[in-house]
Amino acid sequence: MSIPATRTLVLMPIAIALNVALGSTVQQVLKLPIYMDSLGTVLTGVLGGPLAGLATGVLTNLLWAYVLPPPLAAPTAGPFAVTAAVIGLLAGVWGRLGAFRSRPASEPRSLLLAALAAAAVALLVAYTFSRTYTSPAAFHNVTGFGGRELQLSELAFGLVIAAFAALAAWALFARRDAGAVLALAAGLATGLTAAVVSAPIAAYVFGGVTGFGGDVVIAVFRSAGASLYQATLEQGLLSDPLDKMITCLLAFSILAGLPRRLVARFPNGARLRAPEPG
Amino acid sequence: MPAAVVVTVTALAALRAGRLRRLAVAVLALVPVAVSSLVVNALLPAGGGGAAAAGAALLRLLGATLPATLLFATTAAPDLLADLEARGLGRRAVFVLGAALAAVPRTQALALDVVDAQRARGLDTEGSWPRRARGVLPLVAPLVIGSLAEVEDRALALEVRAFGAPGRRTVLQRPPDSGWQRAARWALAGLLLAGLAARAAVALVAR
Repeated sequence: MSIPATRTLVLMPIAIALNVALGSTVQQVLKLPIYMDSLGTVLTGVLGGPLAGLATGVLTNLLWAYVLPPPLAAPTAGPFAVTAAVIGLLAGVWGRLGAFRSRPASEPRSLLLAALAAAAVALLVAYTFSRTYTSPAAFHNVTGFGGRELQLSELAFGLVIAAFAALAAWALFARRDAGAVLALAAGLATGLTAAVVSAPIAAYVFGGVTGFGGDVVIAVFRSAGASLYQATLEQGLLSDPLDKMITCLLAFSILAGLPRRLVARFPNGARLRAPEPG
Repeated sequence: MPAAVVVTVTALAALRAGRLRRLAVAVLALVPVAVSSLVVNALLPAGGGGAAAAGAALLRLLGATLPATLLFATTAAPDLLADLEARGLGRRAVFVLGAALAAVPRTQALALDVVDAQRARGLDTEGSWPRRARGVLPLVAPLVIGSLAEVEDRALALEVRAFGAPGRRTVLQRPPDSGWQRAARWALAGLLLAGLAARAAVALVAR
């Protein structure tokens, strides 16, 4: 086994502990509705590759649910190991594709890439909007929801897009890094996938509840007339993309701030830094 | 119904092992889920599954959680891992699981230290939400960077001890294992297979 592979292996338990520690403190201390329990998974995926990310995600949820003693234990986390696996796998794929590479906004090429990523997201948004939100009839055709659901769903859709635009603008103008836009787009895609994967788990295993803040959102959608499955999916589509965008942006900022020699020691390190100039 | 049996058997086993208190704590941890499940399923006007569905979901959750809780309340995780390694589980898997269990309390303590330190430097944990949101990076970054820096030391320590070297390892300490226990394990495995077969048969007949 090579030394970079050993590093990935050492990173995994530390990332698991990070997931648990961040997931249980950040939410409590700052009282913000973000989970923050997949930053370690995303970092492992980006640094060590898709399989390392997948294993970290699965083990985090299994240990959290079944092995850790009560003050830390989260008994509902077990079945969501599937979602965590998908998140870790996707993070690894994005890392391989170079979505987490730091790209100074002064370079025209990185700006072009960021513009392309933003355009892809905009295209997706425009497509979804034109198919779904133009009239109540179209909305009913696509989602099977009634008219009352439309406003709530529209609100959630708008919130996610606004968050993407705000975070991308912040990354471009305050941090002057075009690579962050790619990381955000990766986070958005990961979040959407995670929502689609976890909705059936929440609906059928738990009867729609997980004991966290998202239950309020589910209750709101339920009272608007959505079925249990629709309500959990809507809740996931609102909170997962937001959470994963923040997680990916954080992972990106942290990786960009690390010394080059530390990052370069991991299997995927070469794709996280631009080649040394000169 | 099967979930109810599992919960009862687990409770009896816990009583026998004297770990009922630990099991009760695990049940208490599920109270928020139960309340929230009742609200979503029973109290809202748009007809959900009702209180019965909420109860069934909760029972399923208990059935899935309590046996594992009991296992780790009666078995020291390092012993379990050592035995699994002796039985052929790869040493990488054993290392990741064992190191993760050891790292969780350490990282948790580090996280609380970071919170205290940032509060001392004026981190706003009570203000409006944009002010609180500004606290995310100061809380997360020190913890993550500190942990990542640790990776290098540990990887080198492992390599120095020939962790990556090929070949089988000799396990020096094996937990006691009586013939009765071995027989009971095989019987339980057989019972599991029989149960699965019965389940499949019922499903086929119903179709």
